[in-house]
Order: sequence, then C-alpha cells, then structure tokens
Amino acid sequence: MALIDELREAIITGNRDRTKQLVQKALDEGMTARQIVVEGVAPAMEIVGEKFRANEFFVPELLIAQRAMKEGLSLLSAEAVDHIGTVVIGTVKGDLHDIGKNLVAAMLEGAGFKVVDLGVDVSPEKFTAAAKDNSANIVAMSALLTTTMGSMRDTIQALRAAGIRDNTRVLIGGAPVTQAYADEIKADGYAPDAASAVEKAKALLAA
Amino acid sequence: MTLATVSFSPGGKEASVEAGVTLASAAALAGVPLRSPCGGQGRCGKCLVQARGKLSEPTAAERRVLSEQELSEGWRLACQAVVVGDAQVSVPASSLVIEHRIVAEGVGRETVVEPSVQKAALRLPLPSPDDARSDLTRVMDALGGRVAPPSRAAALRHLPHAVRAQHGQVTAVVIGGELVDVEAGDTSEACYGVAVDVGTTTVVLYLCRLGTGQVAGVASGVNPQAQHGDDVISRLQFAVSTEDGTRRLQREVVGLINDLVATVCQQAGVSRHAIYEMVAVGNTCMAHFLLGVPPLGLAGKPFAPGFKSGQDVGAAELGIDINPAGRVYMVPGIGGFVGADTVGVILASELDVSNGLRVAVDIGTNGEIVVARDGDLYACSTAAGPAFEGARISQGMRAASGAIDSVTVDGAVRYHVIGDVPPRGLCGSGVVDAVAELVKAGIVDGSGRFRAPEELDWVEEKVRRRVVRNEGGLEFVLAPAEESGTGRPVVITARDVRQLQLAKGAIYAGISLMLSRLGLEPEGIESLLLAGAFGNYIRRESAVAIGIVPAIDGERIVSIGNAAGVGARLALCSTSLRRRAEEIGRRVEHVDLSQEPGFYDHFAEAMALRPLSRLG
Repeated sequence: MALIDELREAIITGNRDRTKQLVQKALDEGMTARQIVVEGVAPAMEIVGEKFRANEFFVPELLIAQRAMKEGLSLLSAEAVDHIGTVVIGTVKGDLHDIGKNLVAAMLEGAGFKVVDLGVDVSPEKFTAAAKDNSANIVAMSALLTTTMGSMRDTIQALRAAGIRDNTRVLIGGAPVTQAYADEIKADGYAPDAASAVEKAKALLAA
Repeated sequence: MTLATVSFSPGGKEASVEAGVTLASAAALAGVPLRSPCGGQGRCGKCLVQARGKLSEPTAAERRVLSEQELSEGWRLACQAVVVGDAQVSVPASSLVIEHRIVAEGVGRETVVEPSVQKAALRLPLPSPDDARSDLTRVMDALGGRVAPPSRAAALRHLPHAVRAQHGQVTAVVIGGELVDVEAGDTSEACYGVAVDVGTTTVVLYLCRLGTGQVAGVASGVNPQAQHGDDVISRLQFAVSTEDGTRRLQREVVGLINDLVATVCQQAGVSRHAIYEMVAVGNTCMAHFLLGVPPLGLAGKPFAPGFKSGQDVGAAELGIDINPAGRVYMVPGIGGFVGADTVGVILASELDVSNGLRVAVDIGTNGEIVVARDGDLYACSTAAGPAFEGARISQGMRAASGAIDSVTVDGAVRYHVIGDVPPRGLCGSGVVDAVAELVKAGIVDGSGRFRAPEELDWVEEKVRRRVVRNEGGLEFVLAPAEESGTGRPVVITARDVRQLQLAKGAIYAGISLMLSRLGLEPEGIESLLLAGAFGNYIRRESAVAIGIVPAIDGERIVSIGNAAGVGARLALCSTSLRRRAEEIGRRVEHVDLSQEPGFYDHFAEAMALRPLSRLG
C-alpha cells in the first residue's frame, strides 16, 4: 500500500500512533504539508464523513478518527498547510453544549480549514472580534437549546454593525436549528450534521 | 377581527377562533389534544389532519413532510396550517395524544401517619346569658390553645352558621397548626388529601385518606402542556417567549389536575370539599409552571431557578379545585433541573438513610441520577432526549395501545404489543429490547453499526431477510405490513439505533461521571434502583446488555416504579417526612455535569452497545 493510502487508513480507523508515524515518514520522504493534507488527511476525513452520514460511523468513531487526524496535523506547521479558508466557530451565548460543535470544528480542520474555536457561551461581541482579528471567511455557530438560538440573530446583527457581514459567511447548526430558521435570520447556510457542515462551508467559500 | 368556526371530527368539538391562528391552536381551544413532539415546528409530521375549508396555503415545512397527492387530499400539519375562515377538520387517531399505560405502584417507606391536616370534632356549649364568648373563642377554647387563629376571613364567615346548625356540634379544620375552617356537624371522617406527580409527559394523582395514609383512588393523564413540545426546553421557550406563556402553562396543568381530582373523587365516592391538601412533586420546570412562576433563570446558564425550597400556598390561589380552605405544598427541589420529583424518589427509596453505595436512576426525557454513599447524596440530571419515551424514533410512540413493548430475536422474531392489538409502533422499552436483541443476534454490532444482509450469511434466512435497505439506510422489520395495524411494516432503523445510543450514552455517562468524581467503581454498587414508568417496563437483561446501566448482578437491579409519586404521598401523610424532604432538598449536592471535564469522553465511550463498567 502506498504511504498516502496507509495514512488515510490510519486516520479512518482512528489509529493515532500510526497516523503520527506516517505523517512523519511522509515529511521525511519530502512531501509538503499541503500535499499531506490535500492527498491524505482531507480525503480520509471525507470518507469518515460519508460513513457518518450513512450511519456506518457514529460519534465515537468520528471522535477517534478526529483525534488521529489532529495528532497527524500537529506535526505540520500552520503556514505550510496553506489553509483553504478560516472559520471562527463557537457555541452561542448561554449555551454550554459543545459536542456537536467540536465534531464540526474537527471535520472542518480535517478538510483543510484553519479553525479558530471560541468554545462555549460565546457572545455576539466575541464572535465579531474573533472574525475581525482572524479575517475569517466563515463564522459558524451552534446552539442546542431553543432558548439560546436567538443569539445567532444577534451575532449576525453584530457582524453587520461591525461592517464585516458582507465578507463573512454565516453557517449555523444544532438540534433545534432548521433551514427555515437560517432563512429567517438571514444566515448564509445551515448544516444538519458534521459531515454536511464541511460541504456547506466549502460551498460558502466558493460562493 | 374575523371570527371563524373550526369543527373537529370525530367528536364534533368546535372552536371559534380569530383568523390567523393555527389549526393546532384551534384544536387546543376545542379540547382536541393533538400530538406535538417537535413543539409545532413542522418537523415531526405527527399532528397530521385532513381539513376542508378556508386555510392558508401549505408551508415549506408541509411540502417537505407531505406528498402532492396527500396535499391534494387535504392532509395538513395542524401546527402549520393557518385558519383563514371556517374549516372542518378530521383528526386521525394517530394524531391524538392518547392515554397511556402508567405505573401507579411503587416502593414504600414506613412512616407514622401524621398529616398536616387535622380535623377535630367538637361539641361546643351554645351561647347563654352567662356565657357570651364569641363563636371563635368558643372554638379556640375547645381546641385547647394549641392552634393559631385563622388568617383568612372565610373561616370566620362560616363560623356562626356552623356553630348553630347542629346544636354546637362542629368540626374544626386545622392545617399546619392554623384553624382554617369550621364545618357544621361531625365531618372528621371526611379527611382526604391528594398527592400529584407532575411529569413532563404524564401527570399521576393519588387520593389518600389522611387518617390512615391509604390510597383511595388513582388517576392519570397526559400533561396538556405537551402541545407546546415534548421536552422541558420547548416549554421553557414557550413560557419565556409567549405573552402570558407561564400563565397558560399553569392553567393547562391545573385544568388537568382538576379533572383528575374529579375522577378520583368519583372513584371513591368522596366530595372534593373533603380534600384539604395537595402535595406535588415534579421537575424544576414543572414546579415553576404549577405555581405560575416565570422560569426566566432556567432558560440559559447558569440555570438558576426562581425558587427551590418547599412552598406552601393556598389551593384557591392556584385554582386547584379542592376545599377552598385547602393548601398546596410543593416539595422542594435540589438545584438546576433536578427537582422535587428527585426528592420524592429519595424519600420513597430511603436513600437518605441507607448504608453502602446505592444509585437511583429515573430514566426519562430528562434523566435524573442519584448516588447515595452511606447517606451522602449527590444528584445530577442528564439530557437523554425523548428516545426513551418513543420520540425521535422513526416509528416511536408512547407506551400506549398498539406499542411493541418487548422483542425477542432468535430463530424467529417475536414481540409483545400493549393491548394485544396489531402493532403500530414501538415504545421506549420496545426500542431498548429490539436493539439489545439485534446486538445479541449480531445484526447490529457493538459500535451500533447495522450489518448489511450480505454480511450476515450466518444468520437464518427468515431473520436475515428482515434486514432491508431503504432510502434512509438499513432497517430491521419487526412486523411486516400484513401484521401491523398501520398497513406499513413496523421497523427499527439504523438511525433509531443511533438515537438510542445518544440517549443511553447520556444516562450511562452521567452514572459513570458521578461515580468517578466520588472515586467509586460501578462494581461497588450494592443496589441500582430504576425509577419511573420506563424503569418498570424495561427488561433488566436488555438494559445491562447494551449498557444503559452498569453491568452488575441482575439481582442488584430493582425497579421501583413511580417512586416520585410515592414520595409525594409520604410527604402528604407525614409532616416529619415533609421536614425530611426539606432537609433532603438542602443536603443533596447538585452536580452540574456540563461543567465536568471528561464528559465528552465518557459520553462517547458510553455509546457502545455492550455491557459497560468503568469508563475512562
């Protein structure tokens, strides 16, 4: 099996040590960080995403694959990776649920995005400042409570007030969130799960 | 303002509504209880009705759920269709909230019966020229000075008539040491109270003879607040975002309680005026709604309740239809979403006075877990979601007539249906059983992955051919179309298995984190108590086999039924246990799992469908 195939396999099966070894080997053999991400990590995570959507993989499998992926990425310097875009992500104000948000963040990272994770209970001001500081292409927000999802609208307004709404796409998700809600608050996209979030983010980037 | 008449069949109920309201609201006004698991967001399709008349055009949500053909036949989602003018609506049985099986038995705790309500039959000397004491003094003197005078004018107003009606024979009603009423004649035998467990889904009410603590009647019903969503979060949202929301929720639950009071009174041949006190338990949100307290602090972190101590208020003030002088005692809560129902469970199961390591799990939409170690108490809540109540399961339903509640898969597939009718869906215990059996048969692996028929060459043909591939992925046919009551096969899907994994992962992670925080091992659990309706119906072997609860000896797992309701009864009949409940409310340490590092890892690991022990 070619090195790059082995690397993909190691990520998909969540083998952390093996992933790290293989990334190191690829670097030693002269592959660039960008090549490793584009040919190894991203396709592997895409397969993980597909399996997740087909109900073949679930949260635990996704989690171990992501851990292996992160272990591999830790050997690559951010500059060398040449990210396809920057996403600022967080769970909205008042909400402490971060499992879904973490899965999305890792999938985006695996797809080659630079991900700035603001954690949970993130205020509209904090989203806006981070989007500005990082020249983010996308602000991604998650909410698990119907009582907190209203904060998404506030963040969109804050982005507008800060004058950066036009060059920042807004992607939202979480159990109570729907496409209809995204339309209502004029978000640019809605993703029902971690795998679709990657696709949506790429589409928003191209739009 | 245009008024429109909306009529509902079968039943012929009508509502006169303003144009602009949804069919679901019109149905609620007409007293037709429609299902609404998604809280009226147009997502679940469970409020399907067939309507004629002047209605809005179908919404995008309806177009997603309904086919062109169905729309042309007049099928609508009641939560989406808006009344424009008069309309006639036909409601299929599957869209109605129906009465379901309820556990009304449970554990008990021995106690001395010493209710807060005392009735004393007195024979008063009638006023005479040399005894012109006031009527009130006459009663107070006869009571011997141990009782406080009334604080309500009503008691005084009844007094003169009562004293003179039967030659000085009266009965003094004393609640919590205060004279609250005086009745004519000897009515001391007619002394009742009600205990009520206000569940998110189900409300159970017990009529108790206060002198003996005996149960004289039981009634239960579906919490009508369910029309605003199945879980407490949807109701919180309704309460805080709708004008008068809390008051509406309060009126709805009080309306049901009054109906249940009427039912038990009829069962026992008792007048509602003979009921002097109601004791209530329920989770923190239910407690707020019952008292009509806006749950503002519960809508977001740090989830601070409006009150948590026990509350003693006038029944009339809440609109509870018992004796107008009667009281309502709301049992204290613990903290966050862990409420009076958990205090009730602890009270009923004696966890507060037991030795060794005991764990009580109330499995429901909001799972509550109590860990007791030599009487030290810790409690947490964990958001399992409604899968255990049959919601978010493709063919899930409540434990009502037509629900598959147990399953075996060996050489063949066998199932049991509540009510012995053709199956229409699966209730929570059926889902648990089906998944446990599919795992045992190897059709679903321990990670929760459905195996395709081609991977199952070792499975008997007649079972293997029940694994079918559909648009949504793989599914297992429990009852083929010709056996089912819906004309469609009853199936469990790959997605359903995932939903159960999320629900049970949350419960197990809760148990596991609580124990690890205390430095304890699951093997050390001396008894594990399963409370709540679900706990009673679930097969212990299934619960252990797929890791809903730790893998311990089956004998150490005990179903204790509606322990919360039993706790309410105990607090009704014994003032010392009521004081004990207050103490429990203060003493239990509330553990906020969302703040616990490691929750994520425990949760992910707890999703495995196999017997589980220590995680991490």
